[in-house]
Amino acid sequence: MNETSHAQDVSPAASAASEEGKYVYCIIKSHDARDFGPVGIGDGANRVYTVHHQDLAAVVSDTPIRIYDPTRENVLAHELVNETVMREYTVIPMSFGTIFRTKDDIVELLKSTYKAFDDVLEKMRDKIEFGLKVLWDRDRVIGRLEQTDEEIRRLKEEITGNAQSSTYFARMQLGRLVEGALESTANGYVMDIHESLKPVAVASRSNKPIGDRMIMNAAYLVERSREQEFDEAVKALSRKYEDMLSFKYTGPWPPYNFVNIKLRLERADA
Amino acid sequence: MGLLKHLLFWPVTGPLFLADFSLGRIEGVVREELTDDTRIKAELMELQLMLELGDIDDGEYAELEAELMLQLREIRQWREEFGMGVTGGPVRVQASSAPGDGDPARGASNPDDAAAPAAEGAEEDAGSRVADPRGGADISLNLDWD
Repeated sequence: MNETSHAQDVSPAASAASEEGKYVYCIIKSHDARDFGPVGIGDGANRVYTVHHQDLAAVVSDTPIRIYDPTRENVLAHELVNETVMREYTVIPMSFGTIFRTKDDIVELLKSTYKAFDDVLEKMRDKIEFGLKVLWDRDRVIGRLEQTDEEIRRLKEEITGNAQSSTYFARMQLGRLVEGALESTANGYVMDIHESLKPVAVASRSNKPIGDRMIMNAAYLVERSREQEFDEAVKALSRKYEDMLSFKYTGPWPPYNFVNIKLRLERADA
Repeated sequence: MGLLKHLLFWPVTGPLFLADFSLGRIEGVVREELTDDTRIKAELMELQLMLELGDIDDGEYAELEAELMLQLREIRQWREEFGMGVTGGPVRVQASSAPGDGDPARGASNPDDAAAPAAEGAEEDAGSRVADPRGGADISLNLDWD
């Protein structure tokens, strides 16, 4: 689509550059006005501070009203603020890119959803999220399957020992066998990892694996007081599967995967 | 009946099927193509993973990311064009629309629609156009084992 084909295609940032709004990072419980320093999203060192309604507070920074692209830089800026706030507070994170027009709008939201936020903050108190992505080296697993799986090994030998065209079907069959074995191997790993972490976590969420090397992409909600236990359980698993799997373990995060906040949005140029 | 079959049996079925294969449906398919950002989001996540795994360096990442951002912006423009929801941007909080204004299932081909300041829900229910009078939010917890 041509950028200039319609008046409304003019970038909201350009058309409303002078219009200031508030970028909201998260909701916390706090009576006191806080200043988290000049770490806000966007150009310039935007101060991150709180907007209050009773004992609820939104953590915000000033920004022109615009749509932030979910670039790594922007997403990291959003996360950095939440990480900073999280060190002291239980945090209900807002989605990336959430902007309110005025302080009053934020107060209005806090007021009209006070009870819901209060409940969720209570339920999430002292709970943190960890991400666990598990990747494998497919070829290495196949190599191992070819040694350990009797049927696969036999078929493979048959194929290598017989170069005739009739082996086409044997190859097909081998392919299917390997696929099936891979799937059940992956499921076995994932189940074991999951079961090992269950006793030290409060809840979990499985997200869709990214790319073709990942067999597991999960988030775990953990009590702050059990962080170390969870940590040790993950480390034990990564030792156990050292030669087969690689673990990408991240956190602590605010409970992004365990709280859904759906806000009514309007168009940036409306 | 599939299009191919219709063409094969043209003498029997005649051109009537064309009425069935309506413009509206074509429009729907095209609209979905133009406004679906799932592929780009998946690619973005894959790109981030590649960077984290060291498969690509910062420079390569920045280049590929910029390309995806362009595509994402294009989709965002189409979504606005069709009066669908876009993520990011300001949240509507003040009372803004009469109760009767909600979701009358208007056709997106109506050019007025694209210009209407559409109120929006989250990306999942991009079709919804109901603006809550008080703004407000649906807040839910998933605390299951999943």
